[in-house]
Amino acid sequence: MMQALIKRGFVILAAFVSLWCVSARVFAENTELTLDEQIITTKLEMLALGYELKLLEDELLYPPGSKISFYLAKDVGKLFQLHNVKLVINDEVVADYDYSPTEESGLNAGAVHNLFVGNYLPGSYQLRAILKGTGPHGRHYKRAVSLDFEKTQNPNLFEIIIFDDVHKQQPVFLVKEIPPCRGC
Amino acid sequence: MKSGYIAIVLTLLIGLLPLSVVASDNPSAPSEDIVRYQEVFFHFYRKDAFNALVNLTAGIEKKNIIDNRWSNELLLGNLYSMYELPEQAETRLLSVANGNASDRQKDLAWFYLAKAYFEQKRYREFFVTIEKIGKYIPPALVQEKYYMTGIVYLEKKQPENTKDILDEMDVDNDHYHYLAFNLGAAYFTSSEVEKGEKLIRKIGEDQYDSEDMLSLRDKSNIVLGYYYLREVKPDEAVAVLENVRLDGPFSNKALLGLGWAYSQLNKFRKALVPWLTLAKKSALDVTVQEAKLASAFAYRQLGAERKAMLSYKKSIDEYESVKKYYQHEISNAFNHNIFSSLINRKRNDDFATTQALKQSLKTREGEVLFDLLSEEKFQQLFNDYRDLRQLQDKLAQWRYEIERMHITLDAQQSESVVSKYQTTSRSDKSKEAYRELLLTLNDTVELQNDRLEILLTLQEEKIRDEYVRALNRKQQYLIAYLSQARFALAEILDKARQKNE
Repeated sequence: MMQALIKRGFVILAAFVSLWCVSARVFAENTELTLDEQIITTKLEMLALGYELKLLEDELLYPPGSKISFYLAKDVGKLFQLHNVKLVINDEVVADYDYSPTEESGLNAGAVHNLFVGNYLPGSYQLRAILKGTGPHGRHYKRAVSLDFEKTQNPNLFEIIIFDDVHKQQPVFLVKEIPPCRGC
Repeated sequence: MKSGYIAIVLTLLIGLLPLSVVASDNPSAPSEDIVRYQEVFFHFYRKDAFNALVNLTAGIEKKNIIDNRWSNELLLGNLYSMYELPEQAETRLLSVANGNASDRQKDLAWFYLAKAYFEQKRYREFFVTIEKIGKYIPPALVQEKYYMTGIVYLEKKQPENTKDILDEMDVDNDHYHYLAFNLGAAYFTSSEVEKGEKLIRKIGEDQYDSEDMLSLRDKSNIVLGYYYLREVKPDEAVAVLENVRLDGPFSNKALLGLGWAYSQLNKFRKALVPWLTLAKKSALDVTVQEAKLASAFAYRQLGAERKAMLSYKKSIDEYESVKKYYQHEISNAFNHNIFSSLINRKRNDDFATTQALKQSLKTREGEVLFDLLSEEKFQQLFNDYRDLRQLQDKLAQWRYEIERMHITLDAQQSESVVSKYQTTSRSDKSKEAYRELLLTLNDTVELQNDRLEILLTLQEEKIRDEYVRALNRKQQYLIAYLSQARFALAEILDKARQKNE
């Protein structure tokens, strides 16, 4: 474990030190790389850095014992155009997100938004998700959906799902726990 | 067209995976690996290729995302292409095309590779790759394949090959109309003007629903209208220019051309209507500057010398004011931040396209930048600048996260916190290793920040150069209008003096 971490740090630093033997300005002015090539190099290095931090995020910031995550998805959801979601855990607002038309299109096409991730001690909690948007016949729509849940020693992941009740021609909202993946 | 492209890519890639969006009375949440994959698509959809790439590569490493090697490679190839990292995109897409993927995945990989070569203008590689696409790509992409091939033939000055391709296309597909427009425009610059007229007239007359197609129709009518003006066929010019929408992006050009068409018909009273409408708009627009001069000219033709004189005087004052503004901007382009109107940093997806940016430009600088944003070279400069600014924002966020990670590690020293937040406490050795890693990452963040500062400065200089170039170009037009207005005014005054004498 420790060797793997040190190796990770070494790989990152080696990548940058090779390019940064002198000051940044001297590098930028004396390098044989064109500005376009420097931009590409920077993008690649930033992706590597982002990747490292993403791995560390789960290891250090959101350890399994305290991690809670909420995702938002639409299952068809033609009867409801989502504008905003507010997430409240035990009376504390933890997320308040406005969706742009582009993001809404993404949700309609099957994409899922990670609305909130946080740390909570094991115990009982109450979630309220308040969803605002446009419902059938262009009417303004505001609905809340609640869930009482237990924080366990494992990471708890939930999905707020918006779907259509085709018989009643009304949107329906529910929260479900996401099962862990097979073989993860 | 771009959002349509993303929708197609998304549908195809999700379609390759064991997940589907189906209506049901009580939908169940999919498992974590599927949700994480769908999250990548959320970033993809909002054109945030950086976060999509980071989430996908980290998910693959941690094995908590769908394990479908070829779909992942295909998605990575697309994301690298979207983030303008062509070599990485090529490597991923070639690995699918030459690997053990399904026929459908291979065809998609060849298609996206051909598209990447097309965008990079690597036409030799494009032709080799396009030949390798089999029968497994969906109809929409077949049309796009035809479109790209037709455009490459136009670039190679082989319009007859483009015409053959156009004949094979589906006339209801948007790509058909774009290719027809480009072919028509190419005919206009060659000796086969009649062929161009026929093609472009058809686009200008057709009925469309989407904004993109309505814009193309307006553009076709503008091209045709100005062609008729050059050929002194004013009736034909009026007929097509009147079809341009007044709330569309080509309305100013249409109003100006309409005035000139009536002027060719000696209907100066009618010419004044579009010109005076246009003259009320912002004088920074070249068409507005010309309309001011043209309306004074129309008054003169109608014998309204006094109105013409007042109109020329007013135009000269406004031209002088705009000239001062241009000169001030040119001399101050290096002293102030022209990027305030360029960057809308609040929302990632609104920030991402130059089209969205155009709509958000409300300042005077914005009006100059509006023209620049139509140029491919400037768009590339702007895209790179935008990417660098987003990376700078990321560094600020990472600094904060690294600090939080340090605090978390320190907090875990305390027995009580460890028992609350961690089922297993870390050993001192692994904590030390984490600290070392965090320090390294912190140094890297600082180094990258220095580099980004420099790259941003260099990129800003390039953008400013282009901005000054655009201002100089506009100033040349303005000086020409100013001389014409002064000359005409002097003529009127001379005439009046002679009359009095």
